[in-house]
Amino acid sequence: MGKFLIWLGISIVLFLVNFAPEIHAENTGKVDKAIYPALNTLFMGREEKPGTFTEVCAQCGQCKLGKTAAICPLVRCAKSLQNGPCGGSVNGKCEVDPNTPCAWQLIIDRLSAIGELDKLEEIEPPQDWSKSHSGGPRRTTVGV
Amino acid sequence: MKAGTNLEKVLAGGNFAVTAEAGPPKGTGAKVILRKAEALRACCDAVNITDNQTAIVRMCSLAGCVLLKQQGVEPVMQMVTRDRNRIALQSDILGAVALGIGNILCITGDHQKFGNHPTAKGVFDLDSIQLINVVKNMRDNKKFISGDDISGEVPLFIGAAENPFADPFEFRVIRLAKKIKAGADFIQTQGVFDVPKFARWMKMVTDRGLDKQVHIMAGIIPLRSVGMARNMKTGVAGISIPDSLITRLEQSKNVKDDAVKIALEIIQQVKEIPGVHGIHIMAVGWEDIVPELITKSGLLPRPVFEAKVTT
Repeated sequence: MGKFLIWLGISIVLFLVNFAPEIHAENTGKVDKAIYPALNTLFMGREEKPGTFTEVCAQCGQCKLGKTAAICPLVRCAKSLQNGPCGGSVNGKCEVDPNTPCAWQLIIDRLSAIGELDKLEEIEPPQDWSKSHSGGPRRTTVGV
Repeated sequence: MKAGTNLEKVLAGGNFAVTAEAGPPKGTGAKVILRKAEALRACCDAVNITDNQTAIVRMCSLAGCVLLKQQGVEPVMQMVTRDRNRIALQSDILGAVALGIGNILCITGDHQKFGNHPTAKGVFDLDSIQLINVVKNMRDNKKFISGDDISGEVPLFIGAAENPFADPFEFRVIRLAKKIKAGADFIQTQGVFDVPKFARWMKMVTDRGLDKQVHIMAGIIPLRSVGMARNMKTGVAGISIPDSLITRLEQSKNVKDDAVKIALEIIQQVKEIPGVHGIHIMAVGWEDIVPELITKSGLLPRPVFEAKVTT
Protein backbone atom coordinates (compact mmCIF):
# COMPACT_ATOMS: atom_id res chain seq x y z
CA MET A 1 0.00 0.00 0.00
CA GLY A 2 2.80 2.35 0.99
CA LYS A 3 4.57 1.63 -2.29
CA PHE A 4 1.38 2.30 -4.19
CA LEU A 5 0.93 5.68 -2.51
CA ILE A 6 4.50 6.67 -3.33
CA TRP A 7 3.89 5.61 -6.93
CA LEU A 8 0.65 7.56 -7.07
CA GLY A 9 2.33 10.60 -5.59
CA ILE A 10 5.16 10.49 -8.09
CA SER A 11 2.64 10.10 -10.92
CA ILE A 12 0.67 13.15 -9.85
CA VAL A 13 3.80 15.27 -9.50
CA LEU A 14 5.07 14.16 -12.92
CA PHE A 15 1.69 14.86 -14.46
CA LEU A 16 1.50 18.35 -13.00
CA VAL A 17 5.04 19.26 -13.99
CA ASN A 18 4.45 18.18 -17.55
CA PHE A 19 1.01 19.55 -18.14
CA ALA A 20 0.92 22.60 -15.84
CA PRO A 21 1.51 25.12 -18.68
CA GLU A 22 -1.28 23.61 -20.74
CA ILE A 23 -3.65 23.60 -17.76
CA HIS A 24 -2.72 27.21 -17.07
CA ALA A 25 -3.38 28.22 -20.68
CA GLU A 26 -6.70 26.37 -20.80
CA ASN A 27 -7.90 27.76 -17.47
CA THR A 28 -6.98 31.34 -18.20
CA GLY A 29 -7.71 31.28 -21.91
CA LYS A 30 -4.36 33.01 -22.41
CA VAL A 31 -1.40 31.71 -24.28
CA ASP A 32 1.07 34.24 -23.03
CA LYS A 33 4.05 32.02 -22.40
CA ALA A 34 6.22 29.84 -24.56
CA ILE A 35 5.80 26.23 -23.48
CA TYR A 36 8.60 23.70 -23.33
CA PRO A 37 8.08 20.09 -22.29
CA ALA A 38 9.94 19.28 -19.12
CA LEU A 39 9.27 15.60 -19.30
CA ASN A 40 8.54 12.89 -21.79
CA THR A 41 5.68 10.77 -20.54
CA LEU A 42 6.51 7.18 -21.38
CA PHE A 43 3.92 4.71 -20.22
CA MET A 44 1.81 3.34 -17.44
CA GLY A 45 3.95 0.77 -15.73
CA ARG A 46 4.85 -0.92 -12.53
CA GLU A 47 8.14 -1.14 -10.73
CA GLU A 48 9.49 -4.55 -11.62
CA LYS A 49 12.58 -4.18 -9.46
CA PRO A 50 13.94 -1.06 -7.79
CA GLY A 51 14.33 1.58 -10.46
CA THR A 52 13.04 -0.52 -13.35
CA PHE A 53 9.56 0.18 -14.63
CA THR A 54 7.70 -2.00 -17.12
CA GLU A 55 4.59 -1.07 -19.03
CA VAL A 56 1.52 -3.03 -18.01
CA CYS A 57 -1.46 -1.14 -19.41
CA ALA A 58 -2.11 0.53 -22.76
CA GLN A 59 -5.27 2.22 -21.53
CA CYS A 60 -7.11 0.73 -24.50
CA GLY A 61 -10.53 1.13 -22.92
CA GLN A 62 -11.48 -2.49 -23.64
CA CYS A 63 -9.95 -4.37 -20.73
CA LYS A 64 -9.74 -8.12 -21.30
CA LEU A 65 -7.55 -9.01 -18.34
CA GLY A 66 -10.30 -11.29 -17.04
CA LYS A 67 -9.71 -13.62 -19.97
CA THR A 68 -5.93 -13.50 -19.93
CA ALA A 69 -5.03 -14.16 -16.32
CA ALA A 70 -4.39 -10.46 -15.64
CA ILE A 71 -1.60 -10.22 -18.21
CA CYS A 72 -2.37 -7.76 -20.98
CA PRO A 73 -1.39 -9.17 -24.39
CA LEU A 74 -2.11 -5.85 -26.03
CA VAL A 75 0.71 -4.10 -24.23
CA ARG A 76 3.00 -6.98 -23.29
CA CYS A 77 3.04 -8.80 -26.65
CA ALA A 78 5.16 -6.97 -29.25
CA LYS A 79 2.54 -7.67 -31.90
CA SER A 80 -0.43 -7.09 -29.58
CA LEU A 81 -1.70 -10.54 -30.55
CA GLN A 82 -5.10 -11.34 -29.16
CA ASN A 83 -4.88 -14.98 -30.18
CA GLY A 84 -1.22 -15.68 -29.48
CA PRO A 85 1.48 -16.76 -29.17
CA CYS A 86 3.22 -16.14 -32.49
CA GLY A 87 5.95 -18.36 -33.88
CA GLY A 88 8.68 -16.31 -32.24
CA SER A 89 8.10 -17.44 -28.67
CA VAL A 90 11.12 -19.44 -27.56
CA ASN A 91 12.00 -20.61 -24.05
CA GLY A 92 9.48 -18.19 -22.63
CA LYS A 93 11.07 -15.16 -24.28
CA CYS A 94 9.92 -12.76 -26.99
CA GLU A 95 11.86 -12.77 -30.26
CA VAL A 96 11.70 -8.99 -30.43
CA ASP A 97 13.59 -8.58 -27.15
CA PRO A 98 15.13 -11.62 -25.43
CA ASN A 99 14.89 -9.79 -22.11
CA THR A 100 11.12 -9.63 -22.38
CA PRO A 101 9.04 -12.60 -21.32
CA CYS A 102 6.59 -13.81 -23.96
CA ALA A 103 3.25 -12.48 -22.74
CA TRP A 104 1.43 -15.48 -24.16
CA GLN A 105 3.73 -17.93 -22.43
CA LEU A 106 2.91 -16.14 -19.15
CA ILE A 107 -0.81 -16.22 -19.91
CA ILE A 108 -0.76 -19.91 -20.83
CA ASP A 109 1.28 -20.81 -17.74
CA ARG A 110 -1.11 -18.98 -15.42
CA LEU A 111 -4.26 -20.32 -17.04
CA SER A 112 -2.82 -23.84 -17.00
CA ALA A 113 -2.05 -23.52 -13.30
CA ILE A 114 -5.67 -22.68 -12.51
CA GLY A 115 -7.10 -25.19 -14.97
CA GLU A 116 -8.59 -22.58 -17.28
CA LEU A 117 -6.55 -23.11 -20.44
CA ASP A 118 -9.74 -23.92 -22.32
CA LYS A 119 -10.52 -20.19 -22.18
CA LEU A 120 -7.97 -19.76 -24.94
CA GLU A 121 -9.72 -22.16 -27.32
CA GLU A 122 -12.22 -19.42 -28.11
CA ILE A 123 -11.29 -17.02 -30.90
CA GLU A 124 -10.93 -13.51 -29.58
CA PRO A 125 -12.70 -11.20 -32.08
CA PRO A 126 -11.16 -7.98 -33.43
CA GLN A 127 -10.63 -5.27 -30.85
CA ASP A 128 -12.83 -2.17 -30.71
CA TRP A 129 -10.14 0.49 -31.05
CA SER A 130 -12.64 3.34 -30.89
CA LYS A 131 -12.23 3.24 -27.12
CA SER A 132 -8.49 3.66 -27.44
CA HIS A 133 -6.53 6.67 -28.64
CA SER A 134 -7.96 7.05 -32.11
CA GLY A 135 -10.62 9.72 -31.87
CA GLY A 136 -8.86 12.70 -30.36
CA PRO A 137 -8.59 13.16 -26.60
CA ARG A 138 -10.70 10.76 -24.59
CA ARG A 139 -12.95 12.27 -21.96
CA THR A 140 -14.70 10.83 -18.98
CA THR A 141 -17.00 12.46 -16.45
CA VAL A 142 -17.31 11.34 -12.87
CA GLY A 143 -19.92 12.53 -10.40
CA VAL A 144 -18.53 15.24 -8.10
CA MET B 1 -14.95 -26.45 -54.01
CA LYS B 2 -14.49 -23.27 -52.06
CA ALA B 3 -12.47 -21.39 -54.62
CA GLY B 4 -11.71 -23.93 -57.33
CA THR B 5 -8.03 -23.03 -57.48
CA ASN B 6 -5.47 -25.46 -58.77
CA LEU B 7 -4.02 -25.82 -55.27
CA GLU B 8 -7.43 -26.64 -53.84
CA LYS B 9 -8.06 -29.24 -56.56
CA VAL B 10 -4.69 -30.87 -55.97
CA LEU B 11 -5.27 -31.12 -52.22
CA ALA B 12 -8.94 -32.04 -52.44
CA GLY B 13 -8.01 -34.82 -54.89
CA GLY B 14 -5.78 -36.37 -52.26
CA ASN B 15 -2.56 -35.54 -54.11
CA PHE B 16 0.65 -34.61 -52.34
CA ALA B 17 0.82 -30.87 -53.07
CA VAL B 18 3.88 -28.80 -53.87
CA THR B 19 4.15 -25.05 -53.43
CA ALA B 20 7.14 -22.74 -53.33
CA GLU B 21 7.80 -19.22 -52.21
CA ALA B 22 8.99 -16.34 -54.36
CA GLY B 23 10.09 -13.05 -52.88
CA PRO B 24 9.31 -9.91 -54.88
CA PRO B 25 12.16 -7.48 -55.68
CA LYS B 26 13.24 -4.43 -53.71
CA GLY B 27 12.33 -2.42 -56.75
CA THR B 28 10.06 -2.11 -59.71
CA GLY B 29 11.47 -4.81 -61.96
CA ALA B 30 8.72 -7.14 -63.06
CA LYS B 31 11.39 -9.31 -64.71
CA VAL B 32 12.47 -10.72 -61.35
CA ILE B 33 9.01 -12.18 -60.84
CA LEU B 34 8.78 -13.38 -64.44
CA ARG B 35 12.11 -15.21 -64.16
CA LYS B 36 11.03 -16.91 -60.92
CA ALA B 37 7.69 -17.81 -62.49
CA GLU B 38 9.52 -19.46 -65.37
CA ALA B 39 11.65 -21.53 -63.02
CA LEU B 40 8.73 -22.65 -60.84
CA ARG B 41 5.96 -23.07 -63.43
CA ALA B 42 6.22 -26.78 -64.17
CA CYS B 43 7.10 -27.99 -60.71
CA CYS B 44 4.64 -26.25 -58.35
CA ASP B 45 0.90 -26.34 -57.91
CA ALA B 46 0.98 -22.72 -56.74
CA VAL B 47 3.59 -20.14 -55.79
CA ASN B 48 3.43 -17.89 -52.71
CA ILE B 49 4.35 -14.25 -53.14
CA THR B 50 5.55 -12.92 -49.81
CA ASP B 51 4.26 -9.71 -48.28
CA ASN B 52 7.22 -7.55 -47.27
CA GLN B 53 8.84 -10.52 -45.56
CA THR B 54 11.01 -9.84 -42.52
CA ALA B 55 9.50 -6.34 -42.65
CA ILE B 56 11.73 -5.28 -45.54
CA VAL B 57 9.96 -3.12 -48.12
CA ARG B 58 9.48 -4.92 -51.42
CA MET B 59 7.05 -4.87 -54.32
CA CYS B 60 3.59 -5.61 -52.94
CA SER B 61 2.32 -9.16 -52.91
CA LEU B 62 -0.77 -8.35 -54.95
CA ALA B 63 1.28 -6.96 -57.86
CA GLY B 64 3.61 -9.96 -57.69
CA CYS B 65 0.62 -12.31 -57.75
CA VAL B 66 -0.86 -10.62 -60.82
CA LEU B 67 2.50 -10.83 -62.61
CA LEU B 68 2.68 -14.55 -61.78
CA LYS B 69 -0.84 -15.13 -62.98
CA GLN B 70 -0.09 -13.40 -66.29
CA GLN B 71 2.62 -16.02 -66.75
CA GLY B 72 0.20 -18.85 -66.12
CA VAL B 73 1.47 -19.62 -62.62
CA GLU B 74 -1.10 -19.83 -59.86
CA PRO B 75 -0.34 -17.43 -57.02
CA VAL B 76 -0.88 -17.63 -53.28
CA MET B 77 -1.15 -14.08 -52.01
CA GLN B 78 0.47 -13.68 -48.61
CA MET B 79 -1.10 -11.04 -46.46
CA VAL B 80 0.32 -9.75 -43.17
CA THR B 81 -1.63 -7.82 -40.56
CA ARG B 82 1.46 -5.85 -39.52
CA ASP B 83 1.11 -3.09 -42.11
CA ARG B 84 -2.59 -2.62 -42.80
CA ASN B 85 -5.69 -2.13 -40.71
CA ARG B 86 -8.98 -3.94 -41.27
CA ILE B 87 -10.16 -1.36 -43.80
CA ALA B 88 -7.11 -1.75 -46.02
CA LEU B 89 -6.98 -5.54 -45.64
CA GLN B 90 -10.59 -6.07 -46.64
CA SER B 91 -10.22 -3.62 -49.52
CA ASP B 92 -7.12 -5.43 -50.82
CA ILE B 93 -8.94 -8.76 -50.57
CA LEU B 94 -11.72 -7.43 -52.79
CA GLY B 95 -9.14 -6.16 -55.27
CA ALA B 96 -7.26 -9.45 -55.25
CA VAL B 97 -10.41 -11.41 -56.01
CA ALA B 98 -11.28 -8.98 -58.81
CA LEU B 99 -7.83 -9.63 -60.29
CA GLY B 100 -8.36 -13.39 -60.17
CA ILE B 101 -6.37 -14.32 -57.08
CA GLY B 102 -7.84 -17.44 -55.49
CA ASN B 103 -5.43 -18.45 -52.73
CA ILE B 104 -4.60 -16.28 -49.75
CA LEU B 105 -2.26 -16.91 -46.83
CA CYS B 106 -3.13 -14.99 -43.68
CA ILE B 107 -0.26 -14.25 -41.32
CA THR B 108 0.61 -11.66 -38.71
CA GLY B 109 4.06 -11.01 -40.18
CA ASP B 110 7.51 -10.48 -38.74
CA HIS B 111 7.86 -7.63 -36.30
CA GLN B 112 9.01 -4.37 -37.94
CA LYS B 113 12.05 -4.34 -35.67
CA PHE B 114 13.66 -6.99 -37.89
CA GLY B 115 13.21 -5.05 -41.12
CA ASN B 116 14.65 -1.98 -42.79
CA HIS B 117 12.13 0.43 -41.23
CA PRO B 118 12.39 -0.41 -37.54
CA THR B 119 10.84 2.92 -36.50
CA ALA B 120 7.61 2.20 -38.39
CA LYS B 121 4.37 1.88 -36.47
CA GLY B 122 3.29 -1.72 -36.39
CA VAL B 123 -0.43 -1.74 -37.15
CA PHE B 124 -1.57 -5.14 -35.79
CA ASP B 125 -5.20 -4.04 -35.89
CA LEU B 126 -6.04 -7.72 -36.44
CA ASP B 127 -3.97 -10.82 -35.77
CA SER B 128 -3.59 -13.76 -38.14
CA ILE B 129 -6.43 -15.77 -36.61
CA GLN B 130 -8.78 -12.83 -36.82
CA LEU B 131 -7.79 -12.23 -40.46
CA ILE B 132 -8.47 -15.88 -41.34
CA ASN B 133 -11.90 -15.51 -39.79
CA VAL B 134 -12.53 -12.25 -41.64
CA VAL B 135 -11.72 -13.89 -45.00
CA LYS B 136 -13.94 -16.87 -44.20
CA ASN B 137 -16.79 -14.55 -43.29
CA MET B 138 -16.26 -12.58 -46.50
CA ARG B 139 -16.32 -15.81 -48.53
CA ASP B 140 -19.08 -17.80 -46.81
CA ASN B 141 -21.40 -15.05 -45.60
CA LYS B 142 -20.42 -12.24 -47.96
CA LYS B 143 -20.05 -9.88 -45.02
CA PHE B 144 -17.43 -7.38 -43.96
CA ILE B 145 -16.35 -7.22 -40.32
CA SER B 146 -18.85 -4.39 -39.87
CA GLY B 147 -21.69 -6.67 -40.97
CA ASP B 148 -22.23 -4.78 -44.23
CA ASP B 149 -22.94 -6.92 -47.29
CA ILE B 150 -20.33 -7.54 -49.96
CA SER B 151 -21.52 -7.48 -53.55
CA GLY B 152 -20.20 -10.33 -55.68
CA GLU B 153 -18.57 -13.62 -54.78
CA VAL B 154 -15.37 -13.97 -52.71
CA PRO B 155 -14.07 -17.40 -53.74
CA LEU B 156 -10.88 -17.83 -51.73
CA PHE B 157 -8.92 -20.85 -50.59
CA ILE B 158 -7.66 -19.79 -47.17
CA GLY B 159 -4.20 -20.58 -45.91
CA ALA B 160 -2.45 -20.03 -42.61
CA ALA B 161 1.00 -20.63 -41.21
CA GLU B 162 1.99 -22.56 -38.13
CA ASN B 163 5.31 -23.01 -36.40
CA PRO B 164 5.55 -26.42 -34.72
CA PHE B 165 8.97 -25.50 -33.30
CA ALA B 166 8.03 -22.46 -31.26
CA ASP B 167 6.95 -22.54 -27.63
CA PRO B 168 4.90 -23.49 -25.77
CA PHE B 169 5.06 -26.74 -27.75
CA GLU B 170 1.88 -28.28 -26.32
CA PHE B 171 -0.11 -25.15 -27.12
CA ARG B 172 0.88 -25.10 -30.81
CA VAL B 173 -1.73 -27.71 -31.65
CA ILE B 174 -4.45 -25.84 -29.76
CA ARG B 175 -3.51 -22.77 -31.77
CA LEU B 176 -3.66 -24.80 -34.99
CA ALA B 177 -7.17 -25.91 -33.99
CA LYS B 178 -8.08 -22.24 -33.53
CA LYS B 179 -6.84 -21.45 -37.02
CA ILE B 180 -8.95 -24.27 -38.42
CA LYS B 181 -11.97 -23.10 -36.46
CA ALA B 182 -11.34 -19.58 -37.80
CA GLY B 183 -11.47 -20.92 -41.35
CA ALA B 184 -8.06 -22.15 -42.53
CA ASP B 185 -8.25 -24.61 -45.43
CA PHE B 186 -4.51 -25.27 -45.67
CA ILE B 187 -1.45 -24.76 -43.49
CA GLN B 188 2.12 -24.09 -44.55
CA THR B 189 4.49 -24.73 -41.66
CA GLN B 190 7.75 -23.12 -40.65
CA GLY B 191 10.80 -24.79 -42.19
CA VAL B 192 11.30 -28.33 -40.90
CA PHE B 193 14.84 -29.40 -39.97
CA ASP B 194 14.11 -31.27 -36.76
CA VAL B 195 12.00 -34.04 -38.29
CA PRO B 196 11.44 -36.00 -35.04
CA LYS B 197 10.00 -32.90 -33.36
CA PHE B 198 7.83 -32.23 -36.41
CA ALA B 199 6.62 -35.84 -36.28
CA ARG B 200 5.72 -35.43 -32.59
CA TRP B 201 3.70 -32.34 -33.47
CA MET B 202 1.98 -34.14 -36.35
CA LYS B 203 1.10 -36.99 -33.98
CA MET B 204 -0.69 -34.48 -31.73
CA VAL B 205 -2.39 -33.06 -34.83
CA THR B 206 -3.62 -36.44 -36.05
CA ASP B 207 -4.62 -37.55 -32.52
CA ARG B 208 -7.04 -34.63 -32.49
CA GLY B 209 -8.20 -35.45 -36.02
CA LEU B 210 -7.09 -32.05 -37.27
CA ASP B 211 -5.42 -33.52 -40.37
CA LYS B 212 -8.92 -34.41 -41.58
CA GLN B 213 -10.02 -30.80 -41.30
CA VAL B 214 -7.10 -28.98 -42.87
CA HIS B 215 -4.34 -29.73 -45.38
CA ILE B 216 -0.94 -29.51 -43.72
CA MET B 217 2.04 -28.73 -45.92
CA ALA B 218 5.49 -29.07 -44.38
CA GLY B 219 7.85 -26.13 -44.88
CA ILE B 220 11.19 -26.96 -46.51
CA ILE B 221 14.12 -24.53 -46.49
CA PRO B 222 17.22 -25.58 -48.44
CA LEU B 223 20.29 -24.51 -46.44
CA ARG B 224 22.50 -23.08 -49.12
CA SER B 225 25.55 -22.39 -46.96
CA VAL B 226 27.02 -23.01 -43.52
CA GLY B 227 26.66 -19.31 -42.73
CA MET B 228 22.98 -19.34 -43.61
CA ALA B 229 22.40 -22.41 -41.44
CA ARG B 230 24.21 -20.81 -38.49
CA ASN B 231 22.38 -17.51 -38.92
CA MET B 232 19.02 -19.22 -39.01
CA LYS B 233 19.83 -21.29 -35.97
CA THR B 234 20.94 -18.37 -33.86
CA GLY B 235 19.19 -15.41 -35.47
CA VAL B 236 15.69 -16.63 -36.25
CA ALA B 237 13.53 -17.38 -33.25
CA GLY B 238 11.41 -20.47 -33.60
CA ILE B 239 13.65 -22.28 -36.09
CA SER B 240 15.17 -25.46 -34.80
CA ILE B 241 18.21 -26.77 -36.70
CA PRO B 242 19.92 -29.83 -35.21
CA ASP B 243 23.69 -29.41 -34.68
CA SER B 244 24.28 -32.58 -36.68
CA LEU B 245 23.00 -30.84 -39.82
CA ILE B 246 25.32 -27.89 -39.33
CA THR B 247 28.29 -30.18 -38.70
CA ARG B 248 27.44 -32.06 -41.87
CA LEU B 249 27.48 -28.85 -43.89
CA GLU B 250 30.72 -27.71 -42.21
CA GLN B 251 32.45 -30.95 -43.16
CA SER B 252 31.02 -31.02 -46.64
CA LYS B 253 33.31 -30.82 -49.67
CA ASN B 254 30.46 -29.52 -51.82
CA VAL B 255 28.05 -27.56 -49.68
CA LYS B 256 25.45 -27.01 -52.38
CA ASP B 257 25.29 -30.72 -53.25
CA ASP B 258 24.90 -31.60 -49.60
CA ALA B 259 22.33 -28.84 -49.09
CA VAL B 260 20.24 -30.47 -51.81
CA LYS B 261 20.77 -33.92 -50.28
CA ILE B 262 19.68 -32.70 -46.85
CA ALA B 263 16.56 -31.04 -48.27
CA LEU B 264 15.71 -34.20 -50.24
CA GLU B 265 16.11 -36.35 -47.13
CA ILE B 266 13.80 -34.08 -45.16
CA ILE B 267 11.23 -34.12 -47.98
CA GLN B 268 11.29 -37.93 -48.07
CA GLN B 269 10.91 -38.13 -44.29
CA VAL B 270 8.01 -35.69 -44.01
CA LYS B 271 6.23 -37.42 -46.92
CA GLU B 272 6.07 -40.53 -44.77
CA ILE B 273 4.52 -38.79 -41.76
CA PRO B 274 0.77 -39.44 -41.53
CA GLY B 275 -1.35 -36.35 -42.09
CA VAL B 276 1.17 -34.40 -44.17
CA HIS B 277 -0.52 -33.43 -47.44
CA GLY B 278 2.25 -31.55 -49.18
CA ILE B 279 5.41 -29.49 -48.98
CA HIS B 280 6.05 -25.77 -49.23
CA ILE B 281 9.58 -24.87 -50.32
CA MET B 282 11.00 -21.59 -49.07
CA ALA B 283 14.23 -21.26 -51.00
CA VAL B 284 14.97 -17.74 -49.80
CA GLY B 285 16.87 -16.25 -52.75
CA TRP B 286 17.69 -19.70 -54.18
CA GLU B 287 14.52 -20.40 -56.17
CA ASP B 288 16.60 -21.87 -59.00
CA ILE B 289 17.15 -24.97 -56.90
CA VAL B 290 13.44 -25.71 -56.51
CA PRO B 291 12.93 -27.59 -59.83
CA GLU B 292 15.88 -29.86 -59.00
CA LEU B 293 14.53 -30.60 -55.51
CA ILE B 294 11.08 -31.44 -56.81
CA THR B 295 12.36 -33.52 -59.73
CA LYS B 296 14.68 -35.54 -57.49
CA SER B 297 11.91 -36.00 -54.91
CA GLY B 298 9.90 -37.85 -57.53
CA LEU B 299 7.06 -35.34 -57.26
CA LEU B 300 6.84 -34.69 -61.00
CA PRO B 301 4.78 -34.46 -63.06
CA ARG B 302 2.33 -32.31 -61.16
CA PRO B 303 -1.37 -33.09 -61.52
CA VAL B 304 -3.07 -31.20 -64.33
CA PHE B 305 -6.73 -30.24 -64.26
CA GLU B 306 -8.79 -29.10 -67.15
CA ALA B 307 -9.16 -25.37 -67.22
CA LYS B 308 -12.45 -24.13 -65.89
CA VAL B 309 -14.80 -23.45 -68.79
CA THR B 310 -16.38 -20.06 -68.44
CA THR B 311 -19.41 -19.17 -70.43
